[in-house]
Amino acid sequence: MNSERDATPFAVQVVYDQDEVLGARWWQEGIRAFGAASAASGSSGTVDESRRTALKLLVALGGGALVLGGAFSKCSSNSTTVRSTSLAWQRQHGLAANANGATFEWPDAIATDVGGSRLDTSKLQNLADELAPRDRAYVPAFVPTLLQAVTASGNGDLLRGLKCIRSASMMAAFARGEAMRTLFESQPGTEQVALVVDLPGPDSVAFAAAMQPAATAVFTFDNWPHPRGVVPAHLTLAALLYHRPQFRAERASKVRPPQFVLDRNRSLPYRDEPDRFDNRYLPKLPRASFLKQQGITRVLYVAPEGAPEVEPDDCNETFLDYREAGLDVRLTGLADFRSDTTPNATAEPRPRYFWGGSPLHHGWFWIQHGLMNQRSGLGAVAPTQRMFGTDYRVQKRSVPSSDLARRGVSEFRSERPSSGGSRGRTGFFGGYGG
Amino acid sequence: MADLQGTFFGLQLAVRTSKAEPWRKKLCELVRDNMRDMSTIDHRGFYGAVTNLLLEASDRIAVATWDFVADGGGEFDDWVRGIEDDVSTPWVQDPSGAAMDHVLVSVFFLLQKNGPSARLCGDRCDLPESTWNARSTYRLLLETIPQLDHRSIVSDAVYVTPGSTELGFSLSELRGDDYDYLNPVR
Repeated sequence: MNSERDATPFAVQVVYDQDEVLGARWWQEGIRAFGAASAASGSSGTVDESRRTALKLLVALGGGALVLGGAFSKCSSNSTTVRSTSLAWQRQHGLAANANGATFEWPDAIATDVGGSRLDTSKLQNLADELAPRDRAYVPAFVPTLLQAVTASGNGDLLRGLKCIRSASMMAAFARGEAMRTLFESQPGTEQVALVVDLPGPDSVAFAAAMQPAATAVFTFDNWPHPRGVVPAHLTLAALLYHRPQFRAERASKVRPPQFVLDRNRSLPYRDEPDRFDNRYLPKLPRASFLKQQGITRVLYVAPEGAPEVEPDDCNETFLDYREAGLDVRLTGLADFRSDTTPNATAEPRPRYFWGGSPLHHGWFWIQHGLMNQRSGLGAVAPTQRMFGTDYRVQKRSVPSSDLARRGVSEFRSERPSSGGSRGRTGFFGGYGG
Repeated sequence: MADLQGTFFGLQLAVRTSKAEPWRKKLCELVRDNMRDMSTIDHRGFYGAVTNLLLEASDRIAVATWDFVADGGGEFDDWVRGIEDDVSTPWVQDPSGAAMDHVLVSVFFLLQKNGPSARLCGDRCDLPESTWNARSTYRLLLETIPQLDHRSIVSDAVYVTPGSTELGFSLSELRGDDYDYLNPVR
């Protein structure tokens, strides 16, 4: 069960704001309510049950209230348009609902995972548990949604085609993650630094894998794949399957900092295009109070190449929360991790990456980001060029909340049963009610 | 939402209110401002504010219904589908010319079975049948909402119908066949 400190356990499922109705429905993440395995499936109390039975009998005898028709039975149309979050729609109607024959594509597919094992899609039922944070303190910040897609209803097409992938971009991200790992491993105090890795999904996964075992991976992928999805979440899933052995090998043997792994593609452009499925979403990062409880004092955001030197709109409010709580928020760019091109660089089978492109500058990273002063950083040389995030400071920005609120919310056509079906509330009115 | 499990607790209240009344505007703004993901604390605060507004209007509840069902996953599903399936059906005003001065407010909870909220509601709803439609009962039930342990709420929903403050139900409409489950509040 979620605790009160969880960021947003009540996820909005549908919202309506129109002439006919204004309202919303929420779902609390983490409470099991489906299927027969209810945690408390026994009698809820003999008083409740007996009264319910008595009322059913009352209805059968004509003494109770029989409800037919309902609150909004004003039209006999056989279809309706429902505004819903895409994820809620997929949960209700199947992962590939509204696919219209489209199928998943798997560029950069590879036959085996990083450990050389072939993928067995019949053994993925526990994927979410396998890839949960090894440091249990970070489980409340873990978002298992994407990992749960492998057990979702209507996922046959996904499972039939599911592959591991390894792209050139992932390999580059992995090499840069290795460089970041050396920075974390060599510097005291980094257990107080939370990384926010916000690259395109597969690259974020590769970077996070390279950070093993120096940081606890906390995945926050909060959507399901869809054959026509705006966000290619199936490729993020495929990257997770490729790097899965590295995350499984992770052990919580000592205090390690968290790395919150985001998919920057969550906010790809989309404008109500009928041939695409809006599986975008808002990031779920923990609140400052949670991080501080874990002893975190700094947050380091990793931005992809070509990104502006500012956090994305959908992280602004969270980062302001961090700043106001006294957390030091910094920005670093993936592009600043470059292969060593100095003339004396040793010839290695694959290039090693360093912050600033050289081992000379690499040690300056923590001076740049405030964890180390220049005296203790003797031997490190400041890069000659300006580095990403040098002048960064979290600032409140005007972010159109309506743009964020629309993300991942669409209108869907829903067919009613041909018999006329449910129009408002139908059936018996039982229970205690008046 | 098939196969939902949990305990259902819900109310649907028809409140007399004019289009221009600040109360209705406040209610709509409150709901509109909170149609987002929420922390447990924000969620409790939201329902506290909704409850305060409904208690403020409790003297103006004309017809209403409420329900508590221990094994109530199906009831929760029925209620929310009943509203959501018809949500895009164009609104048709009562042609009789009667005053359109009522709004329906629906608040539904699916509670973790045997959890603290379900037990609380079970206790509060254990009332003599003669009191089921009393105004004091609706106040008692509304006062239950802020006392819920929100960590044991599985799902919940709030709807205001109609959504536009320019529209409304007539009382005769709410007393008609389509709404015969709504009972006069004494």
